[in-house]
Amino acid sequence: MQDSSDISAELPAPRDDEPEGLRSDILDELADHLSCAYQRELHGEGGTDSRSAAARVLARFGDPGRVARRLWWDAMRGRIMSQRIMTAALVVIAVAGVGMFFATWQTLGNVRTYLEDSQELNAALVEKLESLSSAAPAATNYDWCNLRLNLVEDTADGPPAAGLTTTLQKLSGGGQTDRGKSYPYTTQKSDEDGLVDYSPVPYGSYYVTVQTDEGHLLKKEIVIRPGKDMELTIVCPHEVPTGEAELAVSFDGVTLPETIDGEVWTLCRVYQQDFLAWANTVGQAYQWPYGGTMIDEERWLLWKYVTVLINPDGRMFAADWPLQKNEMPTGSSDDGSDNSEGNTGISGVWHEWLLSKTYSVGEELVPIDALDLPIGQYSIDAELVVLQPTPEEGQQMTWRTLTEEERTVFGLEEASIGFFLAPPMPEEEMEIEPGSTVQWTVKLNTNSTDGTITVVERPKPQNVSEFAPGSVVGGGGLGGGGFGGGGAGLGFF
Amino acid sequence: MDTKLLNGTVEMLILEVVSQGPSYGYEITQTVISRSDGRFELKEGSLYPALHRLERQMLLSSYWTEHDGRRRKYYKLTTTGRKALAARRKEWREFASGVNGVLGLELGVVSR
Repeated sequence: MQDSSDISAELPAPRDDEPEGLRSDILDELADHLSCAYQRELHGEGGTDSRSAAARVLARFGDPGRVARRLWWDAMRGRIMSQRIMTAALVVIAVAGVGMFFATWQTLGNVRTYLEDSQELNAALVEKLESLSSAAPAATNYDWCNLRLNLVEDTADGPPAAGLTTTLQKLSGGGQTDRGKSYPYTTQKSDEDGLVDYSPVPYGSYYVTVQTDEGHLLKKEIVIRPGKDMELTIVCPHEVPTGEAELAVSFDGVTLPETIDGEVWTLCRVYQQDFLAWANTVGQAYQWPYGGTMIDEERWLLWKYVTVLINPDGRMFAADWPLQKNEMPTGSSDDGSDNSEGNTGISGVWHEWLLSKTYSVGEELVPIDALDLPIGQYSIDAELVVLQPTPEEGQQMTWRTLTEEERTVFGLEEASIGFFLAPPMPEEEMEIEPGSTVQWTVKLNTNSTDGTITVVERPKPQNVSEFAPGSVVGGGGLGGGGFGGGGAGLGFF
Repeated sequence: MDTKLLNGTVEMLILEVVSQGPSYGYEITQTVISRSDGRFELKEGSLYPALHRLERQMLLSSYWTEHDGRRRKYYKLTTTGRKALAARRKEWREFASGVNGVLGLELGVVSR
């Protein structure tokens, strides 16, 4: 009878993933079957010899090895097939990986070749550009200009004024009408040579201010034209000039553009600087530098002002402003008390006025010979405006400031002229004699046919400080020369 | 008898024999021969693969015993196998009834 060890030889070679006992279970089961069949043949009805019995069992059973192999295969088929599928997948992945490697290698080769070609091309382009740049003149950037300040002491040929704080503030439209807006500004100190370099800056209108060691504030509005650099020499006096000064407004050699269909008048504003206000009391409608000077992040120096118009014949007229003469927004205070925007009266009409282009002079245009002002420190600025139509006395009229284009036609590099007294230091308090309301008179020369404005000093009261209105300003760079200078002359302060 | 007629019924016959009680391979063959009056004889080449297949299908379970110094593997019907046997019996009755109807035979089918 066939032994189980003989059947075992028929099975496939053992595998690592073969369940433990599978092989022996198959062999034992088949061996038991063969043994039972053999015993039955041997001892059953019509018993026979062992050889015949074994032969008959095997004849009926068939090949035990084949049966054993089938059982083993059925048990292992799932594992073997899974392994074959996994192997096939790995082969596919490996083949794909090798393929991608070669594809990447080929691509890198192409990229390397492309980069080499690009480098050669770039080198050729750089060489070409260098040859072009050396052959052609340097291109001008019309949007950005160089602005350099040269600060000197006392006179134009004086020593450098070092360590002074300068401020440059951009005015978008360049005119007075835009000063009510808040524009960005930057600050630099002059170096040991008195130089300040703000370059590059966009062309347009700017305020340039200089704070001297003595606390004087020098201020100038400049217009930088596209593509044109500006170098400005600013004389910084140690002492405030005193005495009579002359403001000149001359139209000699100026041809008015046809676009101006009215008359060009001179607008003068006389500011009184006599009290401080806190920024949070004036709100956004009242922005430096128009009508005030920012002292620090919180405090502003506000100015009272009156406005006069001077016609081409030199006659002076009182202009009817929303805030005229000594009327100031109520609620402003110098004690830092909280005043809301509502009770200051600053926003609303004034704010709208600041942003408008056309101003109403009022129902009546009243000629005046002089302005009566209370004691205090003052500054004066002047600007060309256009009245439409030519007013008669008592007639309603409007006027507007010159546009940027008109200024360009005029050849004006200065949008306005400014003469400023030195503002008091924030800690200083002006001694204003109670009741002494008429201590200083600004007279505008009505006899001059060339528009000359003369500021005349009145006798100073005894109790007025050194920087009182008697310390009248003068127009160093403007006298008689018109507006075309744009250089060394800056207002005295 | 043509063994082809038996091929489709091997698993049903095995389940039927084991449903009477645990049994092993050789005993199953002998039971089938006895109960079919010698008409049917399960070939071992078909018996054991069918037994192992039914075991993998969880229709049969198995256990081992010692007999005359040999290991013997017994099979018994599982609950799932019992449900499968009932379903195959029903199928067989319908099949036999159809065949008999076609052949014009009146054969009483023993219903268990």
